[in-house]
Amino acid sequence: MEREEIYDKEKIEADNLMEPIYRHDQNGNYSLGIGYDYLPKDDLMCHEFWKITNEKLGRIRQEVRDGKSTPLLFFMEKYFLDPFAFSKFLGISVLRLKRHMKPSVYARLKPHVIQKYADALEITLDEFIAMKGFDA
Amino acid sequence: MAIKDIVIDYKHRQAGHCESGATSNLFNFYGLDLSEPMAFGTGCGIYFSYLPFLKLMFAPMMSFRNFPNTVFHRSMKYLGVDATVIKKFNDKKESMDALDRNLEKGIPTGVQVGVFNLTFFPPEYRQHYNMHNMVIFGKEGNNYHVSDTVMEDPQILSYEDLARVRWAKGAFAPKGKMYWINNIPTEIDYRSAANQGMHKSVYEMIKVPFWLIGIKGMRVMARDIRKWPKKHGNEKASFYLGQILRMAEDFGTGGAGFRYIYGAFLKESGEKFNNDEMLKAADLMGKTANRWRDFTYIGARNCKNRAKPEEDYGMLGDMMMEIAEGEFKVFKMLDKITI
Repeated sequence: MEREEIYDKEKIEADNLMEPIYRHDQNGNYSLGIGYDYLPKDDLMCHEFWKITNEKLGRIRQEVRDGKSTPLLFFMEKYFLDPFAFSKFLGISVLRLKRHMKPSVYARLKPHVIQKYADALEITLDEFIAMKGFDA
Repeated sequence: MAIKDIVIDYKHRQAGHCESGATSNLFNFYGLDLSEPMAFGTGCGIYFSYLPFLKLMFAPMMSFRNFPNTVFHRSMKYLGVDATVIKKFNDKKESMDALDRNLEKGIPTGVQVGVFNLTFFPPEYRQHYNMHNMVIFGKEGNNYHVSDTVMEDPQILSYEDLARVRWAKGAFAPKGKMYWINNIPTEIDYRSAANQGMHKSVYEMIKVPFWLIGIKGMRVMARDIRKWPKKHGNEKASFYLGQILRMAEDFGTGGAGFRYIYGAFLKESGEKFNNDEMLKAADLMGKTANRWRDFTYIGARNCKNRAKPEEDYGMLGDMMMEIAEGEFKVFKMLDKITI
């Protein structure tokens, strides 16, 4: 593949997520430079990947409003947590967490239980319930 | 009891990978020269494992690097340096006091932290990832001076924030892990250290008798990639592919899943110890790393549905197989070299 063909310096500089990256050139030399010599990552990571995630989050948000899902699922998708990791993070049983993820059970939870989840994610109770400030 | 203000004269340098960067910076603090690729190579940072039955972020788990703290531990062992690693503490206060005592003595100390609560990180990076490393080199009042190799300049963290990130919860919890160098001998045998590190890596990449680790794991993954669209449908297949790309090119890899750093290690030690075979291997490694880059590039296009018709999963699988054979060749070559 032609390397120069895809090299787009302006786009790299416009993106402020620049990190040191090693390169290997035609002469066989390695060097440490800032930014990418071409763009698989920031095309994927910063734009495409987040676009896919945001679409998914929007879908879940709508489901929560329709009463088919819970904010718990929303935040787990948001931070890429599966039930096992999240329950470990909270220090509760994974079965209990999975039960709380059911909309019918979630609706009956007491505020202090929901407060625990909000504390773990370091947001307030209102923000957790309304999923405020996490718009796509 | 609060300690008086102290800032150690520590030189912050950016690096491609957090742990090898921290190791090399700590080593350089004592006046000896160890570049980042050398630290990575002698510490056997390179690795591959593919564990499809474990799910990380809803996609098969794979890893391009060794377990956390291997790089520091092994490189110090092979170089014959007296270093201390405290794996875990019982509580927060104890761990912070130990850090303060170290700073009072003038020892810069490396700590393992979780990324989610790091205040100076951009929001895109703040996920529940607990294997990040940084070096603490000073304290002023309630604030600590932090050298994080991802950032361009040294940063400042408050006592509460530092305690929180050192005690982040979840998988691979750091539990206040910290490490530092006690004493460096006057004579250091870089040659034997590089040799030992290289051969350990060769073992881990091609000789482990388990089919999901090393080059064997890459071959299994190549076969799986071809099956994904049929087995899981297009949406899930592209999500899984996205996971590989993110793991290979995500932050702190130095590019192409650590293959460039390893190539730089081979090149540097080949020049240092006058070994032509090693230079050849370095060149081959660089070419393989470039193929990794091509793989991620085509994969990214595939995720976006902008790929050409011939760039489908079958082609990506073939490419992965080609990469695996390329790396196999490199490690076979290294197996026969003694420096």
